[in-house]
Amino acid sequence: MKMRFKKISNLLVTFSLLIYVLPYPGLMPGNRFYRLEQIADRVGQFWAFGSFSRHKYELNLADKKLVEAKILFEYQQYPLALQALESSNQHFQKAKAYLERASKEGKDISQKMINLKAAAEKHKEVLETLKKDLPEEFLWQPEKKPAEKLRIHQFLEEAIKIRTL
Amino acid sequence: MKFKSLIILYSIFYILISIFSYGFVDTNFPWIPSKFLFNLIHYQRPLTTMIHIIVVGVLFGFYGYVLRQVKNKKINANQIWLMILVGVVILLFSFPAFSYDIFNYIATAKVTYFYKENPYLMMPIEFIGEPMLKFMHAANKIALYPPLWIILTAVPHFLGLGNILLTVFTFKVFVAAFYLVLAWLIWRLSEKSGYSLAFFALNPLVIIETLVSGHNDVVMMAFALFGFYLLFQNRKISSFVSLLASIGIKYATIILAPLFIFSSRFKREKLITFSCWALFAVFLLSPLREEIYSWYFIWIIALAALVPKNKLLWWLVMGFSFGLLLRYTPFLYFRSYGGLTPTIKTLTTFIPPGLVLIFYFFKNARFRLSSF
Repeated sequence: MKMRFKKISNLLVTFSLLIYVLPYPGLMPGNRFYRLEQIADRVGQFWAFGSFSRHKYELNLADKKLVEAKILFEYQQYPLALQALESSNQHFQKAKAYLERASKEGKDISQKMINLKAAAEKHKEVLETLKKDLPEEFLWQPEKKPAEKLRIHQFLEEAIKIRTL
Repeated sequence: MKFKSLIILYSIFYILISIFSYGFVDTNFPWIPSKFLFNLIHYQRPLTTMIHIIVVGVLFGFYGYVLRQVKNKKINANQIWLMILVGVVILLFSFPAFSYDIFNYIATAKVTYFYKENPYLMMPIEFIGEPMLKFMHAANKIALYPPLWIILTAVPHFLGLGNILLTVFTFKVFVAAFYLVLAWLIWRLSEKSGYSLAFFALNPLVIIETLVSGHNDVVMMAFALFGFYLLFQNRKISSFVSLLASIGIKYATIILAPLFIFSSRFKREKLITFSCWALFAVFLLSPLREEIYSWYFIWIIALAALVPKNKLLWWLVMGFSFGLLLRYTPFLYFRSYGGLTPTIKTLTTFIPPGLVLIFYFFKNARFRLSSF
């Protein structure tokens, strides 16, 4: 019985993965309204009260920041990309935490969990592709600061680990 | 007819409507009171349609008779209040037969106060295992109403103690209380005119949509009319706050904001007439959003009651009230929202007011000719 349930659950995750669509990234760093959008996103957390609402809010931001990171990586804006990825990681972890809270509150989270798993798989798909295309490390030389070694693969692996449910 | 006989007939008819309404209980509702009524409504469709037409006809018969008696001063304000209270007490126990909106109100309140979620972000359908999902008709919608309505629904929600039947009843009591407040405001604003009171509170469309179906339009209009009440006492800021509260129940009265701002430029009667036409415009434009719903016309009736001498509005109210109540007939007959239903709905909505308008203009033209 347990095995059959797991099989059905996996099948649903696979199906959800097929239809899980990542959003457009929104405004990118450098845009004059980028800070404003970030403030609006932060204010949004007060609107998203309740564990399910907050889970939805955090997952949306995790998606958005991941796409932002992907585009920044593609344009070789590595420090900004890593910042966006870090933000996506945090939102994803919070999305998971709010779902756990919902479960403790007695809400049925089965459908939301399937969606979260589908999101995680989609995120991992993007991260794996990036890992293939990006260098393992990159020496970032800011104009007025000392050079900094960016361990891109390590960051990506950590992000994948966070999304392993 | 003596008033005592009238009120007895009225009560009997309301009791029959209440009984009839229980046939509309959804198959998946946790309580089906009568198999006979259920079968009548769901399987004897021509008979159900006929009963509905008779109900609407009789209600209008009563309405016309009462209005005439009030005009001839054979029924006084106290007697009208008695009829209103009888209607409230009996129809509170009816089932919301013709619309499932009350269940949307209940579900939104439940999302907010039971699940403690933002109803503007979460739809009822997202709560797996929620018993209301079995029978509610718009589970896949986030909250449609502004925040003040959701805040106010905390009262009937908590009084319902988590029991769906009790909650339906508390929501109906809540709406009925505002119906009484609105009737009182109309009475006061019309300088205690029994005619205005009866014109609004005994209108069959108002009765069916408010006391049977439990629509919240009376709540919005109660705040709007309280705004007028304060405005006429030169309490401009308070009146605007009341209008804001009305907009916080349902957005439609936002159209009155410019009239409230420039209210000093209009005489009292003109202001109410313009407000009535403004809301009539919103009513006519409602298909741009979804469709014309019969309960939207309550906005117009509430204001038209304050200008009973405006004959065009008077006839329009009569025509639309009748036509809009007949909108339910094609669904009752076909049990489908597709096919011929939308066309017949449009015809039933517009033919009665159209005929009434032709009659009105013909009567007016004859009057003008005879005065030459």
